[in-house]
Amino acid sequence: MNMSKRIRSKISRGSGELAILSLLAEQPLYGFEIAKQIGERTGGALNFTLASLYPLLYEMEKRGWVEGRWQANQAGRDRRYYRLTATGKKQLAPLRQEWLSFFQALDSLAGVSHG
Amino acid sequence: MVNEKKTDWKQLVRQRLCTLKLPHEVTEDVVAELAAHLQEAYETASASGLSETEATAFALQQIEDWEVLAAQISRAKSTEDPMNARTKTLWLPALASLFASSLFLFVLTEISMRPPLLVRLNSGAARWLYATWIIGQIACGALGAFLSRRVGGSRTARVVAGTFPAIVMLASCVIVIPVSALMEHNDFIFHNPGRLWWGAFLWAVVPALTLLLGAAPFLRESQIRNARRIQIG
Repeated sequence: MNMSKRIRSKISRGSGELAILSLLAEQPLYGFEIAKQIGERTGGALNFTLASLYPLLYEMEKRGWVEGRWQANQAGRDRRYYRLTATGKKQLAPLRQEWLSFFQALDSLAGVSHG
Repeated sequence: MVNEKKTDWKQLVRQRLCTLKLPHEVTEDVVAELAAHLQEAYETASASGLSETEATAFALQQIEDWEVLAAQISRAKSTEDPMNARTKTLWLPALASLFASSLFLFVLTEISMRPPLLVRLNSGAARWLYATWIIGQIACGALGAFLSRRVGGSRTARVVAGTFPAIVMLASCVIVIPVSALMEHNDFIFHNPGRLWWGAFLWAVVPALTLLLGAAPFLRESQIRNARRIQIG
């Protein structure tokens, strides 16, 4: 893997973590809903496929940031709902700060405005 | 090809994720979750007016490579330490033992090159240096076996870790030296194979015995572990 790919992969992973944690901070959701809401709320800028979502979700679950539990959705189908854990809540603020600093650094370097 | 009439999503996911390396219950959990996701993607696409074939293709296009996905999920779900058990119980202790043994040999060689000993090498000093190194192997064998036992290595792992310097020496004598002699067209050892075997005996067999001697106290189960087993039992 070359350097630019590695950086891209880290950026997409980091942004994915922040997006998932932010969504789950509002309410518990299952995988399909997470992907759908992220796509809708970012206007398609962030798009999760099944292949990109679940390895990340499972990794976050292993770290104890989120917790998955099977329960029926509104249609009565069993879905694995993820909710934020106390550890996940603690991660959210520093992660937000990290991204803010990252964009501010880009702003000052490239004159890119993001507001 | 997927049967678009009535896709059994669970069966499809189970088949395509056959390389998942997870316990059965965890695998079934993953299969159920991903199948539900694909089914919902398919239904959403169908509801938007796509044909069954198109909707199925739409759902499946989310996964480019099932093997890569299986490997990523296995890694994400695995609770095993990134450094696997064999590395911890065998390779690291074995390398520690080899490093200690080589370092000791290096130090002795350096000492033997100093003038007072250098002149006496032909008068028996070499034998004393060799004997010193051989005795030192007791500590090296003990180190390898101790480190392996400390992280729960099996008895075989402890024996291999303890005697690893001798294994490397034996490999050198049996493989490296003959191959390099062949490559350099040096036929001395082929005309004098006894020298090679004598070298193997002195540098591999004898050290193996002393390494094993050092490892011996650590080949028994540790008392702490026995005590833990009794408590659990």
